[in-house]
Amino acid sequence: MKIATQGNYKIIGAALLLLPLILATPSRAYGYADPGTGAFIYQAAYAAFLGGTFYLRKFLNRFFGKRKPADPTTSGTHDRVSR
Amino acid sequence: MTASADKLPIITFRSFRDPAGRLVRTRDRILRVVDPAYASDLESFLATGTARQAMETGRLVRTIPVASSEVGGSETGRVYEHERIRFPSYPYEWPAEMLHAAGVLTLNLGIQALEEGFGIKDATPYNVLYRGSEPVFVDVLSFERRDPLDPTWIAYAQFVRTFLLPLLAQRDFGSKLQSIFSGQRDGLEPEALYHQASLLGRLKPHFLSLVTLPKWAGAKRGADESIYRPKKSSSPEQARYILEGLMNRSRKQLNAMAPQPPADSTWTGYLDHKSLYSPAQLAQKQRFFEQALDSTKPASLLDVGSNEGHFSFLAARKGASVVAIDTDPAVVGSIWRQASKEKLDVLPLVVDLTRPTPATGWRNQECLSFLERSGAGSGGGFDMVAMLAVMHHILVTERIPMEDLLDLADQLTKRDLLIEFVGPEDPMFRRIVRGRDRLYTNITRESFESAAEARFELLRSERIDGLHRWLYLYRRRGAVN
Repeated sequence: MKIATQGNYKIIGAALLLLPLILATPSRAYGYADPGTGAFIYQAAYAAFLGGTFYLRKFLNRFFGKRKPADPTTSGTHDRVSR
Repeated sequence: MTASADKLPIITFRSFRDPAGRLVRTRDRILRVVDPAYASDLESFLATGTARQAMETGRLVRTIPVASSEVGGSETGRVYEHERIRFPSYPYEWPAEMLHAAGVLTLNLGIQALEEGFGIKDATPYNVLYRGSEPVFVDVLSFERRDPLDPTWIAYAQFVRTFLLPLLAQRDFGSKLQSIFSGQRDGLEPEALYHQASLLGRLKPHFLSLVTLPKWAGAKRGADESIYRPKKSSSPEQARYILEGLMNRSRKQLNAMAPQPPADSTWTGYLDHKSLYSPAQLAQKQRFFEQALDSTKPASLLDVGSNEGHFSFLAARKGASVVAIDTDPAVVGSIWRQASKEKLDVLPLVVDLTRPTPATGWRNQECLSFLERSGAGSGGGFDMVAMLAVMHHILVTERIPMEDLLDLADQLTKRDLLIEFVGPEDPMFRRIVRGRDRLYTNITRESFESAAEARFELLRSERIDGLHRWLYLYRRRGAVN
């Protein structure tokens, strides 16, 4: 039973890892600075990687009960963002 | 920051790329007209802890709202007044150290602002000026309220182009920032560096992520507009995590590009081991300089040919605000290191007085020329101009006529000129003449004094013992004490 639970977590974890690769691609470019081409694509790929590590950390924290000092979910500063 | 209503007829617009607002410069004031649609964002940003703390510590330009009548009342939008930075300077006048420090400031503010829900929408060194040796972020409109789900730092590529790649090019290929920024307003594209590297060089860690991979990606999908299609993160926490991660990584890369003190350049250590001055002669020169400072008490000083800044530091320690110019980026970088470390009011710039920085940008009006910023033609910008051990380089190496040099000195100084005459018998003079003696028979101490005294009144002069060098302290005729 315990092994099965761990397996489920692994599947969920893998799914969560893949999800941000789709979701965390660059958003709209509303600044006036030239976003570039190659560097913009590179940023998208790196953002996808970071998005993956975000969920991985979250998952590991939940599973192993570890608390990362840089865990962004603990700050709550986005409550102040109104838009 | 002046509060007086200074409604001058001359109002110039020097900033227009950002649709959020424009910069208006009158003779003594810097005003920013902000589009009403962006004004509330700016108000909110200025109220954040990040902005308030950065303004208190001088890292962000001090900004206060003023009445719109300050710009004639014809503008629609909110008007703000900025602290005036005494001497604006541009990245093509900075050594690598100053570009690096400007990048660190940009990223630090960007990361801090992120914590309060703001993003930094452009990341160019033109957002930073120097107050003495301290970088100051001056474009408050660069900060905008973020879409909490947006994981993109739209200015990332610009940060790479204008900070990371120029520093990389300088470090790996010896490129001069002066050439890079004089030629390209928005820095270097990865493609420009890719072809300069060897096959193995393209795979070095930072080169790979900043140049090679973006170059390959751009070549493969550069024409695909869908890459710019809006996408959102699944949560605000994830978006912020991504942005922080990207900025922290950029900061690590920037630190990896931090310029190291050079082992040697043509002019480093000039006073120490390459100069012909004995310790006693140097002390005599220093005494003359200090006495000149004590008697004239300049609030501002331009040190032409500052070398490693020995005399600039003396002047700054006596309370002068110094602009130190030299042609060698290595020595200018070393001045900045020391001035920054000791918090001295010295702004070191890579400027050649015989080819001073031209006005640049759209209609040559975006960035002023060095001479315009120095007050040439408008009464002079410095209480004192110092030209120590530099005149012979200007006269001989650059072939500038003596009268023209003195005319320019007369235009740059509001009041005093401290100048060292290096006679044709001097070994350094002889070294740069290189056999062309006939060209310089007109350069004599008598001809110099005659030309100088046609423009200036002599206050003091002294020969440096044992050398064919004389020091003069002149005052402009008609100058107000």
